[in-house]
Amino acid sequence: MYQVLVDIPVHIPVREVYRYMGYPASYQTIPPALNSMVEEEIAAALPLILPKATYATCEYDAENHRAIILPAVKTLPLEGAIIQNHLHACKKVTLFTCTISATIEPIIDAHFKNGEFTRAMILDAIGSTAVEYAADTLNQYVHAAAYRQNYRLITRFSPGYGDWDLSIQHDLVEAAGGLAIGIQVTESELLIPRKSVSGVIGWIPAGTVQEKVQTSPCLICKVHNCNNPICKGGQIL
Amino acid sequence: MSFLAALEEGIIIFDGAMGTMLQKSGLRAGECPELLNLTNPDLIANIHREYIAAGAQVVTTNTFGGSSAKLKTYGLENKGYDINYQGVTIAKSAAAGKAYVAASLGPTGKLMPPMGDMHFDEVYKIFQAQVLAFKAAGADLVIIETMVDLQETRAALLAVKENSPLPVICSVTFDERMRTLTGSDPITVATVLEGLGADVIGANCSGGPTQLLPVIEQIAAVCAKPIIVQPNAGLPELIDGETVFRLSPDVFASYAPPLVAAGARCLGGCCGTTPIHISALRQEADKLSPISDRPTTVTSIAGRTNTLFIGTTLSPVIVGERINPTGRAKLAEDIRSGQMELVRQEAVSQVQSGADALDINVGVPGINEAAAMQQAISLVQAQVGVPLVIDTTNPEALETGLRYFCGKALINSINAEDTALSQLLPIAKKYGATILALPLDGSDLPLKAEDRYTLAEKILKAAAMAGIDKHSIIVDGLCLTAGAQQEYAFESVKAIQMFATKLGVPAALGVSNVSFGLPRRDILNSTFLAMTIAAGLKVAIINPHDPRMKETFLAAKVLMNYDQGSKNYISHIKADAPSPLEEAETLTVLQRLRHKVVQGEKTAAAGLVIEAVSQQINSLAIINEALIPAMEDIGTAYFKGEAYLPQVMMAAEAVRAAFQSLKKALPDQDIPQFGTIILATVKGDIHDLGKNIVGALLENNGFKVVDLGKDVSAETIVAAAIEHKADIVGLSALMTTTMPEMAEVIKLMRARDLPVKVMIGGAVVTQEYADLIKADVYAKDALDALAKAKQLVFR
Repeated sequence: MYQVLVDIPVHIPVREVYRYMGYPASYQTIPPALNSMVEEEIAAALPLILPKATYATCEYDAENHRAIILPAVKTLPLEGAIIQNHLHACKKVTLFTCTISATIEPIIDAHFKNGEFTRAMILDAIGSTAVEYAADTLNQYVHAAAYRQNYRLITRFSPGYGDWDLSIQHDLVEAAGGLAIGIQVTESELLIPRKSVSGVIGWIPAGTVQEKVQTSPCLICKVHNCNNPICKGGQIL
Repeated sequence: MSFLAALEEGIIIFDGAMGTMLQKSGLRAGECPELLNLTNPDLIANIHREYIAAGAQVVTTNTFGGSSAKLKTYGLENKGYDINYQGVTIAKSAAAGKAYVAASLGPTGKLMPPMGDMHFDEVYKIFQAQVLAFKAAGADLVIIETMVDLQETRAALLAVKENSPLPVICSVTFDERMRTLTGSDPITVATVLEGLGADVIGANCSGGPTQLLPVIEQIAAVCAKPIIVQPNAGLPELIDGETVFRLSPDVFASYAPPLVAAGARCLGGCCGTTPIHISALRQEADKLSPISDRPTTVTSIAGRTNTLFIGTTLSPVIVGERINPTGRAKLAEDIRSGQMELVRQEAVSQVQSGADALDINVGVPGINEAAAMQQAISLVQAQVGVPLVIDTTNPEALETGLRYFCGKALINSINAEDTALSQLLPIAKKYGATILALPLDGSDLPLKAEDRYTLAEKILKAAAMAGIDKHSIIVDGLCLTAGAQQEYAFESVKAIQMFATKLGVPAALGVSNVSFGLPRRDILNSTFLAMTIAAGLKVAIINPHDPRMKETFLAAKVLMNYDQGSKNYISHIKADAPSPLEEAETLTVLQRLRHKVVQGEKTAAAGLVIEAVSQQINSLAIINEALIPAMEDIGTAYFKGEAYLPQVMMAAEAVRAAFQSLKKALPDQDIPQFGTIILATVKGDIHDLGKNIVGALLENNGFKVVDLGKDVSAETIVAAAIEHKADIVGLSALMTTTMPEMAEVIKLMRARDLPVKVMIGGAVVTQEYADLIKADVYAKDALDALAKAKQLVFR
């Protein structure tokens, strides 16, 4: 059975906003006009961002690569060599969804229509930052739960990464309880609202040599020209 | 023969990749490569032997990820000592005296502030533990390699030098803009590491030999130490989820001559290289001799991101003097309370006002000065990348400042008293700092220039005895107050001249001391600044916010021919926002329009269009002579890495405002358009940010854009292309699931035989995919889309 989290704090790390807009980690000076626009947009966005998350932790059958979902005793097969390898030492998995809701989307669109291109871009970056922060927060909740049970977590993984096909989105979102917080999956397997994520967090028993086996997301990511300063189009430093 | 002695003799060949070889031997992703030192030593020894057989004179131990920080991710942190010790032992037995053993230290994977939260001392301890194991096991040298952060490299270098007598190599990784992950350029990296005592400096990984050649050239231009280069076997490519390096051994080795000609003396390989690469490299290197014509040392100081050269023939620089609590009660309280908010503000604002370096003085009575210095240095270097001047005579505060400063500092100052010399010179030597020599010795004030010269000589001699050569010394001209000792004020000018001509060292001066007690200090200060610069002052310690000082400084650089073409003068005086009247006199309206667009000031841009129209300038001239060149300026800045996408968008907004203003002012004049482009995010996809950015750019660069929005069917796109007689159709898709819809659009267009070019882009779209679905053009980002759209219509 899934859990719903609605009291996720909102936080927008400014550096991350700049990173999503293409500034490298080493940037020094931001034009003052841009800086004030970013500050204004963050202030305007804060009351609109409503982070919510759902998650369901279940047993993981590593041999057959499937999550076993209670109480209906359904299974969710996880297809793809990379995701299977990533989870190979896991005994449990947490399926999750997370969103900041769609409230900022019409504003981004309106900014573009009005020729406020920079503000549109800033607000989009704020949305990306906020949903990532919400997912990080969820990760911490799950981490605490895992720790109490003497498990450790490995990096979270989302459909679309590596060879984990997006076609799992419907089943994943349903199993994780995403519908309860208004997340829908389109026919082409995209999430609505746009600033939403879904995925899996693997649990491994504490003390195993495999602890924190990290499949580097940058090595298997399909995004080219990404803004992550540590990622060089698949080359992790 | 020791490694360093061998290095004197000629080129030294290092081995190639360890990780690549281990992967070939079946190492799986997620396994700890260093654990093999304990579980399968023969495998590691055989790799070393293969490299030696291929001609490597140095083998690198399998300890790259042997730091406790890295081992912790495998739960192996308690095995750190054994793994590192064994790594050296295996290499030694494999080398059997035929090769040197370089113990490898790699990054911890953790970042220090401002990027991360790891403390310098923690990182130091992690490396120290590895170094102790290396020393005990008998390594010949240590190689700190693939470092991505200068401060972490410094921590590693100090850990080696403070815990072992071993020679040490520092090899750093640079990105395609020739910066480390945390923003340091090759010149800065080499300057700082040479100062701190690295025996060999260079670069590895970072792409293939082509990418590293310019890096090595830059390092060689400033560094007198031997240089190492260990490129990858070309750029990494991602094929079927695996990283592949494709450069063949022969091609790889063919880069040896240019790398050696650029100054490299140690050659090896990084990711993707194998014994076959090293064998080819050996054969090529055997035909070469290292170049002997290396630079003599120059006086320099450096911050995290840039280096300042100071010399008797070079342009003077400004040191901002404002972070000094003397006579500033608020700043003193800010430092005493530990808040340091004013310190932070002063750091940022002085650099914005033109300071090339910042003086840091936290000498508030009754506080722990060393702790305050550490806090101030950490705070300031997180805000600005310029060199810092550590202003204290307290040895503990000085050493703390030098240790935690990510750069090569200037020490302000060391005077000619025997105790100061004996206490402070060894600290300066250890950290490779540049010294500001203060010609005072505790007896009478040296009033005459000749007396100051004598004391300066004494400091230079003592420094030479401590192993510090005169390239690491700048002498203070000693500024006396004209209000109190008017007859000696000019002695500073004479002293500065003597230091430059007789001692051959550059001079510094805290210029504003001259005006204490007199009215309108700014007049005296700026006049004195001009006089001292003419006499040869190279380091002006001043208040950079003072407009008179700034203007005098800029003007003096023009008049002494340091500011070639007066470029710096013109750009700064312009950027200082002269009154509109002055501006109108010096620049044409189109020049001002172009400038305002680049700055992204849309209201100003719209207003200037009206002004241009009132001067009877037609729309074609406004567009061709101001708006288009402005967008080209910002595009160029983007490609050079001087501006980022939001700044390009701000400029696009300013152009939009200018066009709107133009349409209003001259409704009858046609605004010419390059062509028509249909834009759409394809069916099934709802992520249209990238498409919108492309649309904004194209629209404000003279294209007619018909934006169909997101989730658009192939039929709608084709119908729009016909209706609008489009020249180009631009398609975007974010996800792999929606990407195939692009092929559908192209199929439908080709079936209708439309003479329209198709451009595609999106996060997961590649050139290969564009070729596969027969798109005409692939654009990797918004500016690329703009450039390619122009090519398509002007073809």
